[in-house]
Parts: sequence; C-alpha cells; structure tokens
Amino acid sequence: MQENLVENKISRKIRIKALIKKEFLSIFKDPKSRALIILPPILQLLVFANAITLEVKNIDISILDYSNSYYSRELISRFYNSHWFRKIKLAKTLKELRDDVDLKNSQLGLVIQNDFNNKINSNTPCEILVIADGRQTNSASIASSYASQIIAQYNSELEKKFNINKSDINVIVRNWYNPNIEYKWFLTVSLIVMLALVLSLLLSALSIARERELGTFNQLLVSPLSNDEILFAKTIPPLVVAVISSIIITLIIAFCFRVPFSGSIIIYLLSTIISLASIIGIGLFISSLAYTQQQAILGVFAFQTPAVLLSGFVSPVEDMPLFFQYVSAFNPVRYYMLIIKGIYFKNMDLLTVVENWIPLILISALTLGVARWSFKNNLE
Amino acid sequence: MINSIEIENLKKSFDDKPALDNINLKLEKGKIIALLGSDGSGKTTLIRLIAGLICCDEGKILTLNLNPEKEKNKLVKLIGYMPQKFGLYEDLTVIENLNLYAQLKDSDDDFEKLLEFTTLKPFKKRLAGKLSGGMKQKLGLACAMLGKPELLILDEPSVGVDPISRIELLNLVKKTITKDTTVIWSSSYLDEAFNFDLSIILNKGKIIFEGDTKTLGDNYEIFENKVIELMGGYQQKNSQIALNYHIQDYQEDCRVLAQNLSKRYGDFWAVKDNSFCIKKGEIFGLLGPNGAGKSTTFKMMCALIKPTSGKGYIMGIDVEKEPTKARKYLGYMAQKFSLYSRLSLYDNLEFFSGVYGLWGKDKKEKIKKMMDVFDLEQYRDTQSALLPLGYKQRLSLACALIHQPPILFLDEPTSGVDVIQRREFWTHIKALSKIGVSVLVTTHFMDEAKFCDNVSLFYNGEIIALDTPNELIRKSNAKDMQEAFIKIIKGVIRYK
Repeated sequence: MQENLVENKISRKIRIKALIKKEFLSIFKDPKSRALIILPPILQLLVFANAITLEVKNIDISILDYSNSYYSRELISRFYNSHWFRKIKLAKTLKELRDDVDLKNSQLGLVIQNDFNNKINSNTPCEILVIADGRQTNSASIASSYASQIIAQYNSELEKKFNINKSDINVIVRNWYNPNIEYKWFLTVSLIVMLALVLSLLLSALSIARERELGTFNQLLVSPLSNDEILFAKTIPPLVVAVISSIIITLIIAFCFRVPFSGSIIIYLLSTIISLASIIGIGLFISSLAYTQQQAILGVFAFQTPAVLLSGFVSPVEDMPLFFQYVSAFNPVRYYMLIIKGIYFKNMDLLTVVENWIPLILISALTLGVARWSFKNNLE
Repeated sequence: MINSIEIENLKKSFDDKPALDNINLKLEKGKIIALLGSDGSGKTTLIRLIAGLICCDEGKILTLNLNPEKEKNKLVKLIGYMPQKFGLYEDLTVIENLNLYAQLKDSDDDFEKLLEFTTLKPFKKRLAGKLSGGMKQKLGLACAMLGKPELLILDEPSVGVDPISRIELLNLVKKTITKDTTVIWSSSYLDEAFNFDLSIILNKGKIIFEGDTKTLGDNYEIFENKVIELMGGYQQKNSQIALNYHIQDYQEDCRVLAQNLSKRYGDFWAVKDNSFCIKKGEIFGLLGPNGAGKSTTFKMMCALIKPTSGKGYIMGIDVEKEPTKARKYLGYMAQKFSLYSRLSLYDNLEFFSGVYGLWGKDKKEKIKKMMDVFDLEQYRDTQSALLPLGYKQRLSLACALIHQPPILFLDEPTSGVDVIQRREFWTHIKALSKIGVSVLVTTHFMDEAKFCDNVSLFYNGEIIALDTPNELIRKSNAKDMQEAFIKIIKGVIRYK
C-alpha cells in the first residue's frame, strides 16, 4: 500500500512534467506564438518609451497684444524664452485668435488689454486673459499652468523692481521618487505590469481553447492526468514565460532607460509571481469557457481593458467614483501595479507589500478555484 | 453537348508537391459518377478545379462547355456545389437556411417538396446547429440542389454518416435530379461505388480506374482486392507490435463492463440502460446510426461524461470514482487526428509516454520500439501536421499503444483512410486481440464489423441487438453486414 502511494506520487510527477514540457514546446515551436512572446513587448517598450508622452511640450500659442507696450513686449519675450512653447503667433484681431484656437493651430490664447502698461506703472492690479482649449482637458490645464507660471514669475520680477513685497511665502516644489518628473519613468515601469499582464493572460487563455479547437483536448482528458494536474501544468508555462519576460523588461528599463531600481529584488520577484498567478487564474477561467482561440482572445480583451483602466494606470484609484473603487478592490492588476511601482521607485516597506499580497493571494485562490470549477463543469 | 466535363492533361501542384498529375477525363451528361480515393488522393483538388474555385497549372478544363476560370459567372448559376463542410448557418433554422440559399441562388423552388424528400419537415423550425450529422448533410444537400443545377458536385457528403443515412442521401439525389443532371459524388468509401453508374478512382493524384464499377468485380470483395492491386498491392504481414507487447494477466473477467449506463438530457435519453461486457482479447464493435448514442456511451466509459445512472468499470475500477486510475489501462484513439500537430513526431510520442507515467530507460526503449514497428524513424523530427495521412494514423496508434494498455478504445479510427491502410490497421488490432488486448471500437464501415467478435447495434440510445457478426447476418437473413444493419435498424426484423 505504502509502495503504491510512492509509485503514484512518482508517476504523477512524470505526468505533470510531460505536460509542462509539451506546453513549453507548443509555445516555442510555433513561430506565431514565439513571435507573440517576443515582438509585442519590444515594440510596446519602444513606443511607450519614446512616442507616448504625458508631458506637454511644443505648445503653440497665439497672443493678442492690445497694449503693445514695453511691459507687454517684455512679458511676451518671456514666452519666447521658455522651452515649453514652440510657435508664438502674434494675432492682430480677436477673431484671428479665436480661429487659431478653434482650428487647433494654437493650444493657448493670450489676450493683453490696452491699459496693461498704464496699470503697471500706476501700480494698480491688472488682468491677463489666458484661453485654453478645453477639448483636450489634460493638456489644456497643463499648458495654462505653464502660462500662469511664466506670468507669475514676471509678476514677481515686477514686484522686485517696484519694491513691493506682497507675500513672504515662496513655494519650493521638490518631486520625490522621480525628481525631474520624468514621465518616461512612470510609463516604462507601468509597462512592466502591462506586458506581463497581456502575456500571462493570452498564454493561459489560449492554452485550453487551443486544445479544444484543434481537437486534442479529449485525447488529453482520457489520459491518466487528472483535472487538477492538467490545470496545474497549464499554470506553470505562462507563469514562467511572463516572469522571465518581466525580468528582462525590468533590466532593460533599469539599464537602458536608466530608471533607478530602488527596492528588493527578491520581494519584487515574489510579488510578480503572486500577481501573475492571480491573473493566470483569470486566463484559465476564460480558456475553460472558450471553444475556439478566437473566443479566448475576445475574452482576454473583455477583461484586460477594464482591468487596466481600473488599475490606477490611467487615473488614480482614489479619484474614481466610489462604486468603481469597490470594483477595483477585486482587480489583481491594481495591486500588482501598486506593488511594482512601490518597490521599483521607493523601496516600499515589507509590511505594505505584504498588505497588498493578501488581496492578491485571495484573488489567486478565487480565480484559480473558479477556473478549476468551470474547467470541470465545462467538460460535458 | 454530350459531355458535361472534359479535362485534358490537367496538372496542379501545391508548393511543388503534385496534387493532380496528368488527368484526362470525359464525363457523360446525365450520369451519377462516384469519385473515389483516400484523403489526400486529389479528390477535393479536382472538384475545386471543376467548379472554378482554383486555377490549374497546366491543361484544359471545360465544365458544361464553359471555361471555369474565365466564365465563372455563367458557370456558378448552373452548378450546385456542396463542400466537405457545408456552410450551413448553425444559428438559423432549417427553413431559414433554405430561404437564404434560395435567395442567393435566385431560385423559386418548392421547399415543401424538398423538405419532404429530406424528411426534414418535422424539423423545419429547428436550428441547423442542433441537427444530427446525417440531417445536417441532408440539409446541406438540399441547399446545394436549390435552383435545379445542371451539375451537382458533392464533396464527401457521406463522411461520418451511417449506412442508412448514406442510402437516404443517395435516394434524395436520385429523386430530385432530372435526367440531364450530372452528379459527381466524392467519397472515401469504396463500397459506395456499387451504387453508381460510373466511378473514377484517384490515387496519389492519378486516375487509376475510370468506368463502370462492375467491370472490376461483381461483388465487393473482388472489387476491393482489384483496387488494392491497382494501388500497388498490399502484402499481408504479421504485426510486429504484438511480439513485444506485454500485458499482465488480470483476474477480472470483464475487462470493460457497462452496467445499465444511462444518460438523459432533459426529456431526451441519449443512452438508455446500456450494458455490455468486454472480455480478455475481445473486439467489441459499437454500431449504429448517427445520434444513436455511440459516442455518449464511449465518453461515459472514459469518464468524460457523467452518466445519469448506471456504472462503467475498467478492470473492475469504477471510472467515475477513480478516472485517473482507470485510464491508465486505456489506450485511446480518436476519430480525427488529435495529436499535437505543431510538435514533431518524436515529441508527440515522448509526451504521451510521459503522460502515461513512463520514464527513463524504459520510456526510451518503448518509444524506440514503436518507431521500429511502425517504421517512423524517417519522420522522427517532422512536424506531425505535415506527415502523410497514413503515418498520422500510425502515429496515433503508436501513441495509444505506447504504454501497452490491456484495453483499447477506438472511435471511428479509420474514417478517411484508404483501403490499404485500413487493412494494415486491422492487422495490428487483430494481432493485439490475440495476445489478450480488449478492444472497444465504433465504425461506420460495415465491412469492418466482421473483424469484431461481438457487435452491439445501437438505436435511439438502446441496444437493439448484441451478437456475433455472423449470427447477426444469419438471423436477419441478410447477405452481408450492411444489409443486416439496415434490416435490423429499420425494424424489418424484430431482433431480441
């Protein structure tokens, strides 16, 4: 009896090993799926790192200067000297300025009234109109804040010149964890999460669906492999591939893009594994429902887009409506994103990391459990 | 115009592999012609060339006096074409499918008559996806026949269809065509040739026979032997596989035992009260029309479907309770090639041996043995999708046998395979049964039923006859298995 038990254990190991090996072979022997693993990460890394930027540079501005005086020209020259602004167009009429903004020739409009010079000379408060293009909310607010910064600076220069001391508080801003507010840092590190998400989700979602579509699934089911063994063996290859690929991407980001890694590598790896396990659970669940690879891919998109949107990548979770904050509590990508950024940028302390591991582990247990249940239920 | 199709010196190859080689053909108008040959012999290529779906490399084709390449617009109105997988819309009902194809073909045919002929009338409102295999084929055929085509081209309408439905399909065609309609009916069943005026037999892209079938032989056996001769002959060899095959002596009398197996879906009994016992070395055949419950029984015995009631045992082990343990005794070969087509031949063997718990030296030796027995060494690293059909078949069998199981489950193992390969296949199976392997097999080839020790005839989920093939033929007063099958199923003879 005892011997039988040992033998059972050994043959279980052999079975699982054989299946895992086969899964790896079918990922890597097929040129298409090989390309799927290698090409998109590299392309996305290049695109994200270079083409997409949240910074608003190269702003075009139209200025209508009714004053046309010493002080107004001084102010305009400040805009010329700022590196944020690319083209500065001097409009002659209000209509011209309106058309510029309307046709998106300029993102900003600036109107200086004709009493500007007199008011400064007579020390009375004066106003400058900044028109921003509200159709692009984000860049509008950033561009207008640049404009007000320039104006504020000019204001303080004038105060010095006329010896007025209106306030004693000077604001000094210091950006922690990313001193120069480099958006590339934020983007590339988020990209580690995004790429690992896509890869693990796709590979796991395709695994069972592919067997169903190609008709190999029944052959697998009538072998001595039990459902749990199949599910376990199907978890491993996507996990390994996604972990290795996220290590490579992390290395590229740390060494090629020079984004300093400040946390513990071991905790970073452990967190990656735990997070990906929960995502693979979802992938296998999708796969257990899908009868073709196409259905599986649609399922991946149905999950991936909301999961990314609710992860805090686009807008912080705290800024979402309350309802979506509750929804995002079940979103593994949210915790994954949080931990990875936390460890990468600020050496998040272990306690906080573990606090985020707990929901991830619960979600993994849930998603893998649901995958197992739906796998079993969808056999008939 | 006396000939509906004229072909001269036709050549066609794909990726430098010749699919059709120097074909010359003249087909008379108003005949029903069988186009026979195994998978990969060039049947489908020839059909697609005739219908103008692909262009030839060399030679000349005239279909209904039109050039299918240049005058395709005129041609499509005159032909009815039913591809292997007919494009039925599974989410539409029977009548909606007919309506759609009638509109596409601009035909104002009388559906009522067609529905009556196809016996689909009671199922008018049923979704096409919910029809049984035989009924789907009938509906596909009905759609292809809309618009009264002058030339009807049917690509394997009878594949996976039981003998009764096959005869019904043929009758349907015969009843609905006019005397000027030419029908080309492709098939991998040689015995179908006996129902047609003329037959063409293709082998490896060449026509090996053309003319009246009866000139090759009056009865099927002579005919089959003649065809095998034309294909290059087959030498009866002893199966090497049985020589090194070791199975333990187990005590169980019934290696495979089904006890009152039943499966109910809603009000419908897919399988009702099915019991059988397969003894050591017994070949047990499950025969029956499509949808009779064969595959449901099969799946219940593998524990892929949970029975509503009843039990299945393999080697005395309850398959439902301990599926993993039971499946160790099982070798399984599915209907269509279901190995990993992207992996190489060797990887497949290695995977299946691993899954069945083989390892180390033992595994290497067993794989080596299989490669020797089935002569697979030359294709060791070939991606299995690219293997010739016969080798795919051998590889499937090798994977099912690698762990030397005492029980084999074969689900329509020979569909689409040519006569020679079927002979070779059955030589192995018979040799294995001689050394004590028990075999459960389903098939639509009635001539294969004679290899079984016992045959169970399935109809509407119930066993209506269980006997040796000879007894079945004798008791039903039939000349062969096919006739016995039809008689018993149709209830001509009360068999109990």
